[in-house]
Amino acid sequence: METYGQSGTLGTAPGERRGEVTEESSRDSADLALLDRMRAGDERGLAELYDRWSDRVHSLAEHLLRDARDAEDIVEETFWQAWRSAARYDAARGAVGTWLLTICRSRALDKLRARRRRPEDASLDDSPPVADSAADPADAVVAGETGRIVRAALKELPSEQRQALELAYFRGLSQSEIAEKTGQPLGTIKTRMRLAMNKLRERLAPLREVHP
Amino acid sequence: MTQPRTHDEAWAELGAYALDSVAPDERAAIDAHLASCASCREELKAMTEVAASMASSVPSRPMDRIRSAAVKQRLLDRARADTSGVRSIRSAAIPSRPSMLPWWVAVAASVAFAVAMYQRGVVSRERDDFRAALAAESTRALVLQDSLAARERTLLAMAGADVKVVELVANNRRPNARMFWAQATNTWTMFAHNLPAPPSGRTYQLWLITREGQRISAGTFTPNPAGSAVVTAQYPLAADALSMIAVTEEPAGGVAQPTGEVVIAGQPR
Repeated sequence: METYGQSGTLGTAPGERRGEVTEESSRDSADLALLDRMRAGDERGLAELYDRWSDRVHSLAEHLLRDARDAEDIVEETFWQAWRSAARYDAARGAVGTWLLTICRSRALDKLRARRRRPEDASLDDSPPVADSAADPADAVVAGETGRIVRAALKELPSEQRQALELAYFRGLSQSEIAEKTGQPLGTIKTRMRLAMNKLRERLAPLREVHP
Repeated sequence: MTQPRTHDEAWAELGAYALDSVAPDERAAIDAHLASCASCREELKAMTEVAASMASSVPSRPMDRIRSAAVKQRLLDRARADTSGVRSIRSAAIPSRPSMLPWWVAVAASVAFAVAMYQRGVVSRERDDFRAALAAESTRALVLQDSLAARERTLLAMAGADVKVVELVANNRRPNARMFWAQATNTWTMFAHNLPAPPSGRTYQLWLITREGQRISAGTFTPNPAGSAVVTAQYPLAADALSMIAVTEEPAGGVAQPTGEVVIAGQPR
């Protein structure tokens, strides 16, 4: 079999793929249009928003909860909250997808805390991905590419910084709880988290350019 | 009580704040500063996007299609009820009146009432059964519509006059694949067969390689137990820009540039 070498002409960096950047920007506009319809009481807007985002919301919920039925409940509650609070959505505070995923995470962490059972083995490495199969093939490509960029950025972080981020984001631990869990001083955890977020921000700048 | 935050102190904690990882009293102190600091609010918006991007690192785990359709139907039912202002029927106390009728009328009325209530119960159960059946049919119809729409998209991506077909083969002639490139819609649809299951921790990744040497990822995939896979992607490419299509074996999650062995590859004719 042939093997690709490491040398030769470099391909286009993921963040430089103009076709996908355009795709993602137009997806944000489409999401905003759907929220306008939801504000007007058009439930078909909710149906379309669900079609566009339910797989990603479900992926996050199931990753956090490790339970398919609980994840389904969170998906339903996330979109229900989106329906009820569409009028209060503020585009200046972030993209629609960010808003939905934030609602999902908050609900899932509430459930996680309530049952006091955390996925102690949660790690990005031990969750084998399946084929990207979002409803729209274009969405699947964009989502898959974004995921690869974020995973690569996380892997570039020093392990202790990455650990602090993952414990905060995926397990909902406060800085004090992380300090207790890792046996490190609180000040050290705060420093790690600050450095990690700044590095991640720097590495993800090409993604943020499509969400001005 | 937590001390008020200076600008620099608040700024340094906005990342943790965006991750919802600060203690409640610290949050209150940062909130107080945010109320009067536009630059910190702007910084928080950026940090919130960074925090939310971590959700993208989660592997894709789509919901089962039938269950997803059922969740969607429940949501739409709730939304419709919400829009139309339908609320649960309130029981209202009916003021009693002194009876002016003979006793046998009251007995007859009681019997008639009991019969009516029984019939109402039967009708109510039948109505509930009918509603449940209707909901199940609606769900089935949604699933079929989705399935039909997906098949139509696939057919369009394969049958258009502008569709270019690229055969992908391996040296040993097994496995093989066929890529349909619908140039009008920038849609790529690949059917692959006889692919062995990738080793644990590995995946297949599809690449579009241009004449200029760009290697564009069109997604990762895993074949079904029979060794078959259908991969769809959308990417704009000039008609004469494609040099080769290849599938490589890569670490799970995929890579930004190909590093592994080419499993199958083909060039446009």
